[in-house]
Amino acid sequence: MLLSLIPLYLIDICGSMAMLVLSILCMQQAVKLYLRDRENALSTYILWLTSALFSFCLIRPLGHFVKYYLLFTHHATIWQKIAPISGSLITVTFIVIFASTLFFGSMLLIMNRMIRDRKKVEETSSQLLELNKDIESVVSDRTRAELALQLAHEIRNPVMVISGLLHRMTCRQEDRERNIRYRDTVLGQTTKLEAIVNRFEELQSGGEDHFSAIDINELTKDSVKIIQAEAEIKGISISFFPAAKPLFCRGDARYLKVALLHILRNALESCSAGDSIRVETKQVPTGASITIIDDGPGIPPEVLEHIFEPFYSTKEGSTGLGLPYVRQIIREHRGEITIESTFGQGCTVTIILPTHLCELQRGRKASSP
Amino acid sequence: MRVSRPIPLLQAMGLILLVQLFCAGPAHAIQSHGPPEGIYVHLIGHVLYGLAMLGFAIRIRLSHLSVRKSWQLMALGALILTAWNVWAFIAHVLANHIPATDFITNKQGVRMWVALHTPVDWLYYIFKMDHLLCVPAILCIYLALRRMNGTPLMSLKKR
Repeated sequence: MLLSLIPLYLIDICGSMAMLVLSILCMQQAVKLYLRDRENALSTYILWLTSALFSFCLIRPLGHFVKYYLLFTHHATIWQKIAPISGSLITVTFIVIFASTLFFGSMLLIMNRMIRDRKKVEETSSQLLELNKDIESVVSDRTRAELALQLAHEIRNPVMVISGLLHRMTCRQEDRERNIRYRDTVLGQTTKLEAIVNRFEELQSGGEDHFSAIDINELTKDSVKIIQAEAEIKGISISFFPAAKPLFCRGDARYLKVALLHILRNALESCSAGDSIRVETKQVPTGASITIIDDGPGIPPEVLEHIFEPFYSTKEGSTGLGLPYVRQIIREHRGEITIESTFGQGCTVTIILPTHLCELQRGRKASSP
Repeated sequence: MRVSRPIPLLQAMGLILLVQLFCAGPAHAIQSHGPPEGIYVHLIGHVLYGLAMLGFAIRIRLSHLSVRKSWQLMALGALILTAWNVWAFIAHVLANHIPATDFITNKQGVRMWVALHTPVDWLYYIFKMDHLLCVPAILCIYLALRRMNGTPLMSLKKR
Protein backbone atom coordinates (compact mmCIF):
# COMPACT_ATOMS: atom_id res chain seq x y z
CA MET A 1 0.00 0.00 0.00
CA LEU A 2 1.31 3.43 -0.95
CA LEU A 3 0.82 6.36 1.35
CA SER A 4 1.63 9.97 0.62
CA LEU A 5 4.32 11.60 2.71
CA ILE A 6 2.71 15.05 2.29
CA PRO A 7 0.68 14.78 5.55
CA LEU A 8 3.93 14.01 7.39
CA TYR A 9 5.63 17.00 5.80
CA LEU A 10 2.68 19.26 6.68
CA ILE A 11 2.64 18.11 10.30
CA ASP A 12 6.40 18.57 10.47
CA ILE A 13 6.32 22.12 9.05
CA CYS A 14 3.32 23.24 11.11
CA GLY A 15 4.76 21.61 14.25
CA SER A 16 8.14 23.23 13.69
CA MET A 17 6.49 26.63 13.28
CA ALA A 18 4.45 26.12 16.43
CA MET A 19 7.56 25.08 18.35
CA LEU A 20 9.45 28.11 17.15
CA VAL A 21 6.68 30.49 18.19
CA LEU A 22 6.12 28.76 21.54
CA SER A 23 9.82 28.68 22.35
CA ILE A 24 10.11 32.44 21.69
CA LEU A 25 7.10 33.00 23.97
CA CYS A 26 8.66 30.74 26.63
CA MET A 27 11.90 32.69 26.48
CA GLN A 28 10.00 35.96 26.78
CA GLN A 29 8.18 34.69 29.88
CA ALA A 30 11.41 33.36 31.43
CA VAL A 31 13.19 36.70 30.92
CA LYS A 32 10.18 38.50 32.40
CA LEU A 33 10.27 36.18 35.40
CA TYR A 34 14.00 36.73 35.85
CA LEU A 35 13.69 40.52 35.59
CA ARG A 36 10.97 40.45 38.24
CA ASP A 37 13.44 39.19 40.83
CA ARG A 38 17.05 38.99 39.63
CA GLU A 39 18.31 37.76 43.01
CA ASN A 40 15.98 34.77 43.05
CA ALA A 41 17.86 31.52 42.46
CA LEU A 42 14.75 29.78 41.15
CA SER A 43 13.97 32.40 38.50
CA THR A 44 17.64 32.38 37.44
CA TYR A 45 17.53 28.60 37.13
CA ILE A 46 14.28 28.74 35.13
CA LEU A 47 15.98 31.18 32.76
CA TRP A 48 18.89 28.75 32.24
CA LEU A 49 16.62 25.79 31.64
CA THR A 50 14.32 27.71 29.32
CA SER A 51 17.35 28.95 27.39
CA ALA A 52 18.51 25.36 26.92
CA LEU A 53 15.01 24.31 25.80
CA PHE A 54 14.84 27.39 23.59
CA SER A 55 18.09 26.45 21.84
CA PHE A 56 16.62 23.00 21.14
CA CYS A 57 13.30 24.42 19.96
CA LEU A 58 15.13 26.92 17.74
CA ILE A 59 17.75 24.67 16.13
CA ARG A 60 15.41 21.75 15.40
CA PRO A 61 12.65 23.65 13.53
CA LEU A 62 15.23 25.78 11.72
CA GLY A 63 16.95 22.60 10.58
CA HIS A 64 13.61 21.25 9.35
CA PHE A 65 12.80 24.45 7.48
CA VAL A 66 16.20 24.47 5.80
CA LYS A 67 15.74 20.79 4.91
CA TYR A 68 12.38 21.36 3.21
CA TYR A 69 13.56 24.49 1.49
CA LEU A 70 16.61 22.77 0.04
CA LEU A 71 14.69 19.61 -0.92
CA PHE A 72 11.90 21.46 -2.71
CA THR A 73 14.33 23.83 -4.43
CA HIS A 74 16.28 20.89 -5.84
CA HIS A 75 19.32 21.34 -3.55
CA ALA A 76 19.17 17.93 -1.90
CA THR A 77 22.93 17.55 -2.13
CA ILE A 78 23.49 20.68 -0.04
CA TRP A 79 21.12 19.31 2.58
CA GLN A 80 23.07 16.06 2.67
CA LYS A 81 26.12 18.09 3.66
CA ILE A 82 24.27 20.24 6.22
CA ALA A 83 22.22 17.43 7.81
CA PRO A 84 25.04 16.03 10.00
CA ILE A 85 25.79 19.52 11.38
CA SER A 86 22.10 20.15 12.15
CA GLY A 87 21.78 16.73 13.81
CA SER A 88 24.93 17.30 15.87
CA LEU A 89 23.74 20.69 17.06
CA ILE A 90 20.42 19.18 18.13
CA THR A 91 22.32 16.46 20.04
CA VAL A 92 24.40 19.14 21.78
CA THR A 93 21.19 20.87 22.92
CA PHE A 94 20.01 17.52 24.38
CA ILE A 95 23.19 17.35 26.46
CA VAL A 96 22.85 20.98 27.55
CA ILE A 97 19.25 20.35 28.69
CA PHE A 98 20.38 17.20 30.51
CA ALA A 99 23.19 19.10 32.27
CA SER A 100 20.89 22.01 33.23
CA THR A 101 18.35 19.63 34.76
CA LEU A 102 21.00 18.03 36.96
CA PHE A 103 21.22 21.23 39.01
CA PHE A 104 17.51 21.41 39.78
CA GLY A 105 17.71 19.28 42.93
CA SER A 106 20.68 21.20 44.34
CA MET A 107 19.00 24.49 43.49
CA LEU A 108 15.83 23.46 45.34
CA LEU A 109 17.92 22.47 48.37
CA ILE A 110 19.69 25.84 48.38
CA MET A 111 16.42 27.71 48.04
CA ASN A 112 14.81 25.75 50.87
CA ARG A 113 17.81 26.30 53.13
CA MET A 114 17.82 30.03 52.40
CA ILE A 115 14.10 30.35 53.06
CA ARG A 116 14.39 28.38 56.31
CA ASP A 117 17.27 30.54 57.49
CA ARG A 118 15.40 33.71 56.58
CA LYS A 119 12.38 32.55 58.60
CA LYS A 120 14.65 31.79 61.54
CA VAL A 121 16.23 35.24 61.39
CA GLU A 122 12.82 36.87 61.12
CA GLU A 123 11.55 34.87 64.07
CA THR A 124 14.57 35.75 66.21
CA SER A 125 14.32 39.38 65.19
CA SER A 126 10.63 39.50 66.11
CA GLN A 127 11.36 37.84 69.47
CA LEU A 128 14.11 40.35 70.15
CA LEU A 129 11.81 43.21 69.27
CA GLU A 130 9.16 41.80 71.58
CA LEU A 131 11.68 41.39 74.36
CA ASN A 132 12.96 44.90 73.81
CA LYS A 133 9.42 46.20 74.01
CA ASP A 134 8.89 44.34 77.29
CA ILE A 135 12.10 45.69 78.76
CA GLU A 136 11.26 49.23 77.66
CA SER A 137 7.85 48.90 79.24
CA VAL A 138 9.33 47.57 82.48
CA VAL A 139 11.91 50.37 82.60
CA SER A 140 9.23 52.96 81.88
CA ASP A 141 7.01 51.60 84.69
CA ARG A 142 9.91 51.60 87.12
CA THR A 143 11.04 55.11 86.24
CA ARG A 144 7.54 56.47 86.56
CA ALA A 145 7.01 54.78 89.88
CA GLU A 146 10.32 55.97 91.31
CA LEU A 147 9.76 59.52 90.11
CA ALA A 148 6.28 59.64 91.57
CA LEU A 149 7.39 58.21 94.89
CA GLN A 150 10.35 60.56 95.21
CA LEU A 151 8.33 63.66 94.42
CA ALA A 152 5.47 62.66 96.64
CA HIS A 153 7.91 62.08 99.46
CA GLU A 154 9.64 65.43 99.01
CA ILE A 155 6.52 67.53 98.69
CA ARG A 156 4.31 65.86 101.23
CA ASN A 157 6.38 66.82 104.27
CA PRO A 158 6.51 70.61 103.71
CA VAL A 159 2.83 70.51 102.92
CA MET A 160 2.11 68.89 106.23
CA VAL A 161 4.23 71.47 108.10
CA ILE A 162 2.54 74.39 106.37
CA SER A 163 -0.88 72.99 107.05
CA GLY A 164 -0.02 72.53 110.73
CA LEU A 165 1.24 76.08 111.09
CA LEU A 166 -1.80 77.50 109.45
CA HIS A 167 -4.02 75.66 111.82
CA ARG A 168 -2.08 77.18 114.73
CA MET A 169 -2.34 80.65 113.22
CA THR A 170 -6.04 80.33 112.92
CA CYS A 171 -6.17 79.39 116.59
CA ARG A 172 -4.31 82.60 117.65
CA GLN A 173 -6.48 85.62 117.21
CA GLU A 174 -4.02 88.51 118.29
CA ASP A 175 -3.38 90.06 114.87
CA ARG A 176 -6.35 88.84 113.15
CA GLU A 177 -6.14 90.75 109.88
CA ARG A 178 -2.54 89.83 109.19
CA ASN A 179 -3.10 86.28 110.17
CA ILE A 180 -6.01 86.04 107.83
CA ARG A 181 -3.94 87.47 104.93
CA TYR A 182 -1.07 85.09 105.61
CA ARG A 183 -3.36 82.23 106.13
CA ASP A 184 -5.04 82.81 102.77
CA THR A 185 -1.70 83.02 100.97
CA VAL A 186 -0.28 79.94 102.63
CA LEU A 187 -3.50 78.06 102.13
CA GLY A 188 -3.39 78.95 98.44
CA GLN A 189 0.16 77.58 98.21
CA THR A 190 -0.67 74.43 100.06
CA THR A 191 -3.61 73.84 97.78
CA LYS A 192 -1.24 74.07 94.81
CA LEU A 193 1.25 71.73 96.48
CA GLU A 194 -1.44 69.25 97.34
CA ALA A 195 -2.60 69.35 93.78
CA ILE A 196 0.94 68.54 92.61
CA VAL A 197 1.17 65.68 95.09
CA ASN A 198 -2.17 64.34 93.97
CA ARG A 199 -1.14 64.53 90.33
CA PHE A 200 1.99 62.51 91.00
CA GLU A 201 0.08 60.01 93.07
CA GLU A 202 -2.40 59.66 90.23
CA LEU A 203 0.50 59.11 87.86
CA GLN A 204 1.68 56.23 89.99
CA SER A 205 -1.73 54.74 90.52
CA GLY A 206 -2.61 55.31 86.87
CA GLY A 207 -0.08 52.71 85.75
CA GLU A 208 -1.66 49.73 84.09
CA ASP A 209 -1.99 46.64 86.16
CA HIS A 210 -0.47 43.95 83.94
CA PHE A 211 -1.25 41.17 86.39
CA SER A 212 -3.23 38.44 84.74
CA ALA A 213 -3.55 34.65 84.77
CA ILE A 214 -0.48 33.23 83.04
CA ASP A 215 0.55 29.71 82.24
CA ILE A 216 4.03 29.13 83.64
CA ASN A 217 4.58 26.33 81.12
CA GLU A 218 3.97 28.65 78.19
CA LEU A 219 5.99 31.49 79.70
CA THR A 220 8.99 29.21 80.31
CA LYS A 221 8.67 27.66 76.85
CA ASP A 222 8.73 31.12 75.23
CA SER A 223 11.77 32.16 77.25
CA VAL A 224 13.66 28.96 76.38
CA LYS A 225 12.77 29.48 72.71
CA ILE A 226 14.28 32.98 72.79
CA ILE A 227 17.69 31.79 73.96
CA GLN A 228 17.63 28.54 71.98
CA ALA A 229 19.45 30.04 68.98
CA GLU A 230 22.09 31.61 71.24
CA ALA A 231 22.64 28.23 72.94
CA GLU A 232 22.93 26.45 69.57
CA ILE A 233 25.62 28.89 68.45
CA LYS A 234 27.59 28.27 71.65
CA GLY A 235 27.18 24.50 71.35
CA ILE A 236 25.18 24.23 74.56
CA SER A 237 22.18 21.92 74.57
CA ILE A 238 19.09 23.29 76.22
CA SER A 239 16.10 21.10 76.99
CA PHE A 240 12.71 21.98 78.40
CA PHE A 241 10.51 19.56 80.35
CA PRO A 242 7.11 21.16 81.00
CA ALA A 243 4.64 20.01 83.60
CA ALA A 244 1.96 17.69 82.25
CA LYS A 245 -0.81 20.18 83.03
CA PRO A 246 -0.89 23.99 82.64
CA LEU A 247 0.42 25.83 85.71
CA PHE A 248 -1.65 28.94 86.08
CA CYS A 249 -0.61 31.74 88.39
CA ARG A 250 -1.41 35.42 88.59
CA GLY A 251 1.40 37.70 87.58
CA ASP A 252 2.95 40.10 85.14
CA ALA A 253 4.17 38.03 82.19
CA ARG A 254 6.61 40.72 81.05
CA TYR A 255 8.38 41.00 84.41
CA LEU A 256 8.49 37.26 84.90
CA LYS A 257 9.88 36.74 81.41
CA VAL A 258 12.60 39.32 82.03
CA ALA A 259 13.51 37.55 85.30
CA LEU A 260 13.52 34.11 83.70
CA LEU A 261 15.60 35.27 80.74
CA HIS A 262 18.12 36.83 83.09
CA ILE A 263 18.60 33.51 84.86
CA LEU A 264 18.77 31.58 81.59
CA ARG A 265 21.35 34.02 80.20
CA ASN A 266 23.42 33.66 83.37
CA ALA A 267 23.34 29.89 82.88
CA LEU A 268 24.35 30.30 79.21
CA GLU A 269 27.23 32.61 80.12
CA SER A 270 28.57 30.23 82.73
CA CYS A 271 28.34 27.12 80.51
CA SER A 272 30.73 26.27 77.74
CA ALA A 273 30.40 24.18 74.56
CA GLY A 274 29.20 20.66 75.29
CA ASP A 275 27.47 21.60 78.55
CA SER A 276 23.73 21.35 78.95
CA ILE A 277 20.93 23.32 80.56
CA ARG A 278 17.79 21.58 81.75
CA VAL A 279 14.66 23.64 82.36
CA GLU A 280 11.63 22.05 83.97
CA THR A 281 8.33 23.19 85.33
CA LYS A 282 6.20 21.27 87.78
CA GLN A 283 3.49 21.60 90.38
CA VAL A 284 4.81 21.56 93.96
CA PRO A 285 2.79 21.87 97.20
CA THR A 286 3.72 25.54 97.51
CA GLY A 287 2.94 26.49 93.91
CA ALA A 288 4.38 26.30 90.43
CA SER A 289 8.06 25.57 90.29
CA ILE A 290 10.53 26.50 87.56
CA THR A 291 13.91 24.83 87.86
CA ILE A 292 16.95 25.71 85.75
CA ILE A 293 19.78 23.24 86.12
CA ASP A 294 23.08 23.73 84.34
CA ASP A 295 26.19 21.61 84.45
CA GLY A 296 28.53 24.57 84.19
CA PRO A 297 31.36 25.34 86.62
CA GLY A 298 29.01 26.23 89.49
CA ILE A 299 29.29 29.09 92.01
CA PRO A 300 31.92 29.25 94.79
CA PRO A 301 30.37 29.30 98.30
CA GLU A 302 31.81 32.75 99.10
CA VAL A 303 30.04 34.19 96.03
CA LEU A 304 26.83 32.24 96.60
CA GLU A 305 26.17 33.81 100.02
CA HIS A 306 26.26 37.34 98.52
CA ILE A 307 24.61 36.53 95.23
CA PHE A 308 21.39 38.49 95.89
CA GLU A 309 23.15 41.54 97.34
CA PRO A 310 22.86 44.67 95.21
CA PHE A 311 26.08 45.84 93.50
CA TYR A 312 27.80 42.54 94.26
CA SER A 313 29.24 41.05 91.09
CA THR A 314 32.16 38.92 90.05
CA LYS A 315 31.71 39.82 86.39
CA GLU A 316 33.64 42.69 84.90
CA GLY A 317 31.38 45.49 83.71
CA SER A 318 28.33 44.13 85.51
CA THR A 319 26.23 46.40 87.71
CA GLY A 320 25.48 43.63 90.17
CA LEU A 321 21.81 44.55 90.05
CA GLY A 322 20.60 41.65 87.88
CA LEU A 323 19.87 38.96 90.43
CA PRO A 324 18.60 41.40 93.11
CA TYR A 325 16.17 42.70 90.50
CA VAL A 326 15.14 39.14 89.62
CA ARG A 327 14.51 38.41 93.30
CA GLN A 328 12.50 41.62 93.64
CA ILE A 329 10.30 40.60 90.70
CA ILE A 330 9.74 37.13 92.16
CA ARG A 331 8.94 38.59 95.58
CA GLU A 332 6.48 41.04 94.05
CA HIS A 333 4.72 37.94 92.77
CA ARG A 334 4.75 36.51 96.31
CA GLY A 335 7.18 33.88 95.10
CA GLU A 336 10.55 32.57 96.17
CA ILE A 337 13.85 32.11 94.41
CA THR A 338 16.69 29.91 95.59
CA ILE A 339 20.09 29.20 94.11
CA GLU A 340 21.95 26.04 94.99
CA SER A 341 25.37 25.19 93.69
CA THR A 342 28.27 22.89 94.38
CA PHE A 343 31.38 24.49 93.02
CA GLY A 344 32.56 22.59 89.96
CA GLN A 345 29.29 20.67 89.58
CA GLY A 346 26.85 23.17 88.13
CA CYS A 347 24.06 25.24 89.53
CA THR A 348 20.34 24.89 90.21
CA VAL A 349 17.99 27.87 90.33
CA THR A 350 14.50 27.23 91.64
CA ILE A 351 11.64 29.69 91.39
CA ILE A 352 8.37 28.95 93.11
CA LEU A 353 5.34 31.06 92.27
CA PRO A 354 2.03 30.69 94.09
CA THR A 355 -0.77 29.24 91.96
CA HIS A 356 -4.52 29.81 92.36
CA LEU A 357 -4.94 26.37 93.91
CA CYS A 358 -2.23 26.94 96.51
CA GLU A 359 -3.66 30.35 97.38
CA LEU A 360 -7.04 28.71 97.95
CA GLN A 361 -5.55 25.99 100.14
CA ARG A 362 -3.56 28.59 102.11
CA GLY A 363 -6.74 30.63 102.60
CA ARG A 364 -8.62 27.59 103.86
CA LYS A 365 -5.85 26.71 106.31
CA ALA A 366 -5.75 30.28 107.63
CA SER A 367 -9.51 30.40 108.13
CA SER A 368 -9.71 26.99 109.82
CA PRO A 369 -9.39 27.08 113.70
CA MET B 1 86.71 13.65 47.64
CA ARG B 2 85.33 10.60 45.90
CA VAL B 3 82.57 11.09 43.29
CA SER B 4 80.30 8.11 42.48
CA ARG B 5 80.00 7.54 38.71
CA PRO B 6 76.85 6.16 37.01
CA ILE B 7 76.91 2.54 35.97
CA PRO B 8 77.77 2.20 32.22
CA LEU B 9 74.92 -0.32 31.66
CA LEU B 10 72.26 2.14 32.81
CA GLN B 11 73.75 4.83 30.62
CA ALA B 12 73.51 2.53 27.64
CA MET B 13 69.85 1.67 28.38
CA GLY B 14 68.97 5.34 28.66
CA LEU B 15 70.58 6.01 25.31
CA ILE B 16 68.63 3.16 23.67
CA LEU B 17 65.32 4.54 25.04
CA LEU B 18 66.18 8.00 23.74
CA VAL B 19 66.88 6.64 20.28
CA GLN B 20 63.59 4.66 20.41
CA LEU B 21 61.68 7.92 20.99
CA PHE B 22 62.85 9.25 17.64
CA CYS B 23 61.89 6.06 15.86
CA ALA B 24 58.30 5.71 17.26
CA GLY B 25 55.65 4.09 15.08
CA PRO B 26 51.92 5.07 15.04
CA ALA B 27 50.43 4.81 18.54
CA HIS B 28 46.79 4.60 17.34
CA ALA B 29 45.82 7.08 20.03
CA ILE B 30 43.24 8.82 17.91
CA GLN B 31 40.40 6.55 16.91
CA SER B 32 38.53 7.47 13.79
CA HIS B 33 34.70 7.44 13.92
CA GLY B 34 32.54 5.93 11.28
CA PRO B 35 29.12 7.17 10.09
CA PRO B 36 26.86 5.12 12.46
CA GLU B 37 28.33 6.89 15.51
CA GLY B 38 26.35 10.04 14.75
CA ILE B 39 23.02 8.28 15.13
CA TYR B 40 24.24 6.44 18.25
CA VAL B 41 25.26 9.72 19.89
CA HIS B 42 21.91 11.23 18.89
CA LEU B 43 20.05 8.26 20.39
CA ILE B 44 22.11 8.51 23.59
CA GLY B 45 21.22 12.22 23.60
CA HIS B 46 17.52 11.28 23.45
CA VAL B 47 17.99 8.86 26.36
CA LEU B 48 19.73 11.52 28.46
CA TYR B 49 17.16 14.18 27.52
CA GLY B 50 14.32 11.81 28.37
CA LEU B 51 15.87 10.83 31.71
CA ALA B 52 16.55 14.48 32.56
CA MET B 53 12.94 15.43 31.90
CA LEU B 54 11.65 12.43 33.86
CA GLY B 55 13.91 13.34 36.79
CA PHE B 56 12.82 16.95 36.58
CA ALA B 57 9.13 15.98 36.69
CA ILE B 58 9.68 13.58 39.61
CA ARG B 59 11.62 16.19 41.59
CA ILE B 60 8.81 18.69 41.08
CA ARG B 61 6.23 16.12 42.18
CA LEU B 62 8.22 15.29 45.31
CA SER B 63 8.93 18.90 46.26
CA HIS B 64 6.60 21.41 47.88
CA LEU B 65 6.38 23.15 44.49
CA SER B 66 3.94 20.50 43.30
CA VAL B 67 1.07 22.24 45.08
CA ARG B 68 1.30 25.11 42.63
CA LYS B 69 -0.58 24.92 39.34
CA SER B 70 2.36 26.49 37.45
CA TRP B 71 4.76 23.77 38.59
CA GLN B 72 2.17 21.08 37.93
CA LEU B 73 2.05 22.30 34.32
CA MET B 74 5.86 22.36 34.20
CA ALA B 75 5.97 18.75 35.43
CA LEU B 76 3.33 17.78 32.84
CA GLY B 77 5.39 19.44 30.09
CA ALA B 78 8.50 17.56 31.27
CA LEU B 79 6.60 14.25 31.28
CA ILE B 80 5.31 14.84 27.74
CA LEU B 81 8.88 15.65 26.66
CA THR B 82 9.97 12.33 28.22
CA ALA B 83 7.32 10.59 26.15
CA TRP B 84 8.46 12.54 23.08
CA ASN B 85 12.04 11.34 23.59
CA VAL B 86 10.86 7.73 23.75
CA TRP B 87 8.73 8.37 20.66
CA ALA B 88 11.62 9.99 18.75
CA PHE B 89 14.02 7.23 19.82
CA ILE B 90 11.68 4.60 18.38
CA ALA B 91 11.19 6.70 15.22
CA HIS B 92 14.97 6.88 14.68
CA VAL B 93 15.37 3.13 15.18
CA LEU B 94 12.46 2.39 12.82
CA ALA B 95 13.85 4.76 10.16
CA ASN B 96 16.98 2.62 10.02
CA HIS B 97 14.85 -0.43 9.27
CA ILE B 98 13.00 1.01 6.28
CA PRO B 99 14.85 0.34 3.05
CA ALA B 100 15.34 3.27 0.69
CA THR B 101 13.49 1.30 -2.01
CA ASP B 102 10.21 1.68 -0.08
CA PHE B 103 10.18 5.37 -0.89
CA ILE B 104 8.95 6.74 -4.19
CA THR B 105 10.44 10.06 -5.23
CA ASN B 106 9.20 12.69 -7.64
CA LYS B 107 11.12 14.01 -10.60
CA GLN B 108 13.18 16.30 -8.35
CA GLY B 109 14.24 13.41 -6.13
CA VAL B 110 12.04 14.35 -3.15
CA ARG B 111 10.43 11.41 -1.38
CA MET B 112 6.67 11.74 -1.95
CA TRP B 113 5.24 8.31 -1.16
CA VAL B 114 6.09 5.38 1.02
CA ALA B 115 5.18 1.78 0.45
CA LEU B 116 3.72 0.25 3.61
CA HIS B 117 4.24 -3.49 3.44
CA THR B 118 4.84 -4.55 7.04
CA PRO B 119 3.66 -3.37 10.49
CA VAL B 120 7.11 -1.78 10.93
CA ASP B 121 6.42 0.42 7.90
CA TRP B 122 3.11 1.49 9.45
CA LEU B 123 4.77 2.18 12.77
CA TYR B 124 7.39 4.28 11.00
CA TYR B 125 4.66 6.35 9.35
CA ILE B 126 2.92 6.93 12.69
CA PHE B 127 6.08 7.62 14.69
CA LYS B 128 7.21 10.24 12.19
CA MET B 129 4.48 12.52 13.58
CA ASP B 130 6.48 13.35 16.71
CA HIS B 131 5.37 17.00 16.73
CA LEU B 132 2.03 15.80 18.05
CA LEU B 133 3.83 15.28 21.36
CA CYS B 134 6.56 17.88 21.18
CA VAL B 135 4.28 20.89 20.61
CA PRO B 136 1.91 20.16 23.55
CA ALA B 137 4.96 19.73 25.79
CA ILE B 138 6.34 23.16 24.91
CA LEU B 139 2.83 24.59 25.21
CA CYS B 140 2.59 23.24 28.78
CA ILE B 141 5.95 24.80 29.64
CA TYR B 142 4.83 28.12 28.16
CA LEU B 143 1.58 28.04 30.19
CA ALA B 144 3.58 27.15 33.31
CA LEU B 145 5.93 30.09 32.83
CA ARG B 146 3.05 32.45 32.13
CA ARG B 147 1.32 31.33 35.32
CA MET B 148 4.56 31.73 37.29
CA ASN B 149 4.66 35.35 36.18
CA GLY B 150 1.16 35.87 37.51
CA THR B 151 1.82 34.39 40.97
CA PRO B 152 4.51 34.96 43.62
CA LEU B 153 7.57 32.84 43.01
CA MET B 154 9.27 30.84 45.79
CA SER B 155 11.12 33.90 46.92
CA LEU B 156 13.48 35.26 49.52
CA LYS B 157 11.91 38.68 49.25
CA LYS B 158 9.03 39.68 51.49
CA ARG B 159 5.90 40.18 49.44
